[in-house]
Amino acid sequence: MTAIRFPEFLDSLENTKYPFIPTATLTNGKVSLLEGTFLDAHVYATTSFFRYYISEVVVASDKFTIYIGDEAKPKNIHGEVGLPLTTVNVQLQDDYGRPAGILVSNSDRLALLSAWGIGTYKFERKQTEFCVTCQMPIPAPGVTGFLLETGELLSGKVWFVGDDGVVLSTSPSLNPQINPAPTLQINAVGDPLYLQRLCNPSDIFTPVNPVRIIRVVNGENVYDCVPDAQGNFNLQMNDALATDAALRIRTTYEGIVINVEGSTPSG
Amino acid sequence: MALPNFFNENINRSFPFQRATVGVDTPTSGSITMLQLPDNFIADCGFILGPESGFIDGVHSVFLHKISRINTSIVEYEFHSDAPNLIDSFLLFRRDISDPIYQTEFVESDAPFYAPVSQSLSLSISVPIVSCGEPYWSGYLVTGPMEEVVSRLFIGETVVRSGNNEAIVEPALIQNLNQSQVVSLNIANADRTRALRPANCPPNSWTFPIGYTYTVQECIQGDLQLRSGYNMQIIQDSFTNTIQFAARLKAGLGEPCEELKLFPQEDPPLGAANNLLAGDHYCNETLRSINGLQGPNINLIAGVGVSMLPNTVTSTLIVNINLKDLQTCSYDTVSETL
Repeated sequence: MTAIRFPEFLDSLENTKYPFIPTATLTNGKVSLLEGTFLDAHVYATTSFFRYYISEVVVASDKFTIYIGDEAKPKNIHGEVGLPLTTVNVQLQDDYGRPAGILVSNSDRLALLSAWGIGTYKFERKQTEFCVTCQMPIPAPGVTGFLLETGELLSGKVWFVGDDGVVLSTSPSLNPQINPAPTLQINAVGDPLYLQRLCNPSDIFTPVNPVRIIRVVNGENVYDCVPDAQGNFNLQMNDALATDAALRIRTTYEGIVINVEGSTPSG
Repeated sequence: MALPNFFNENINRSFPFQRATVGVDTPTSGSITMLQLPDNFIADCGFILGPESGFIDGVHSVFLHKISRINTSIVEYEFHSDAPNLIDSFLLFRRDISDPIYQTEFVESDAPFYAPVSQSLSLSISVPIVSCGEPYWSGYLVTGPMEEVVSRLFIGETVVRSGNNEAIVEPALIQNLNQSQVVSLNIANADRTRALRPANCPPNSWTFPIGYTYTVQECIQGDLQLRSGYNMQIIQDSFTNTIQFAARLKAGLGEPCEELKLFPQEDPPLGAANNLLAGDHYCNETLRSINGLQGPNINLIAGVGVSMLPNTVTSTLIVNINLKDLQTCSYDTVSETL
């Protein structure tokens, strides 16, 4: 019998339980994973990581989904394979679409899973646990992402931008003895001219030059009158000299009426 | 018979490259192409794609771009990726031809850069860039016997990848940490709505460009405190791991006494009569009502004995008490002789 002395890496794993541990049964009593269904694996996740295994396989008419996790969170990451099979590897991701590893296979080998028929197939850890060399620990960096109400996840270099009346500011720690971390202050102070921005098209807005001063010219005397604190200008008769002055200024619904009280020739 | 170890096996097979992307029709001696790369050149490698690499599994790949014999003693291996953020960032491994077999080297790329905002708005100042965040990517390389490389590469010779299906690294040797963490928090403010002047008035002008998003601070890393500012309430729900920001009048620090600057250098427009940053007027700086009547049009009505003569050119209203239509008293001015 002849044998290939140095088989290719994936070929050398074909008839082994790798990437599962040697004691994995590869069966849940109903369906079985054959040796060589997966040739290699590289599993990592940003959260919850301890002795990962295939916990569930869900076969549907148009795809099958492989769930992987640990005892604490059996469905922590997953990979989807569309049917009919065209892919060679199963790309794994977490609930937020972040990459979480790969199962190396090919379409012929993956066809085994689709042949199980539509349904949900659960496994225990002792049946499908991955080798420790296939499970890559990753650092716990603190905040891994900002999840928005829309379901969108922000990560990497994240920008907080104040807009539409929200102003952000930063400062050193306000109490460095207790907490030296810098401070991000969020302010809702409004944008006084915001309505101007809403004009669509923008050129529909025509700025006006507001009246800011009423200049009163009385003979050679000139007075610049500015509004009061409420922006109001008072126009009134001067009754300082006589209580029965004939000049009247009345504010009506129609406007401000200036007249002189007295008798008309007919009256 | 003792089994060969992992590296021994690898220098006799395509690994760590995908099958048929190297080692195809390799001549027994002499020059080679990348597709003919001998299996014993490289025994192992692995790569970690960083949080800002932009690497997408199944779409992008890592590959050996070129091997160069720099001089009599140095050989360089250059690994590239087609991930968008890695186009200009490659990993360079270097070997001395006297290095032993299975020499291992770890290398990481540069990290993203940014310009500190404290100077970025000072347009006349050249701003130095600063590194921030994790390296774009990193990796290790284990090489085979260097005498094999020397026998194939003459001094100054380079083997360069010429096709997309050459020297592709096995996908299971790649750990993709793209999007796996928040690398840095960066703060900015979008511009406020700036006041416009009428067509017949000189426009407002500021000492800085307007209409932009202004950076407040870049590259905040480590712990961060959130503080409720003016009219702001921050609600932390530890159960749902949620932080809510609610705009609420007089919450937090209450109402501000003056406008908040979007960035420290923000000032009112040049020649402004007040300190309003947007370039407009305070409410009490414009005539909004006369005797409590608001516009836009206020009627001034000339009653009995009064005439009003407007001049729209000079924006003048002449109010004349002419006693028109009124019966006036007549005085006898004849002098009496006593």
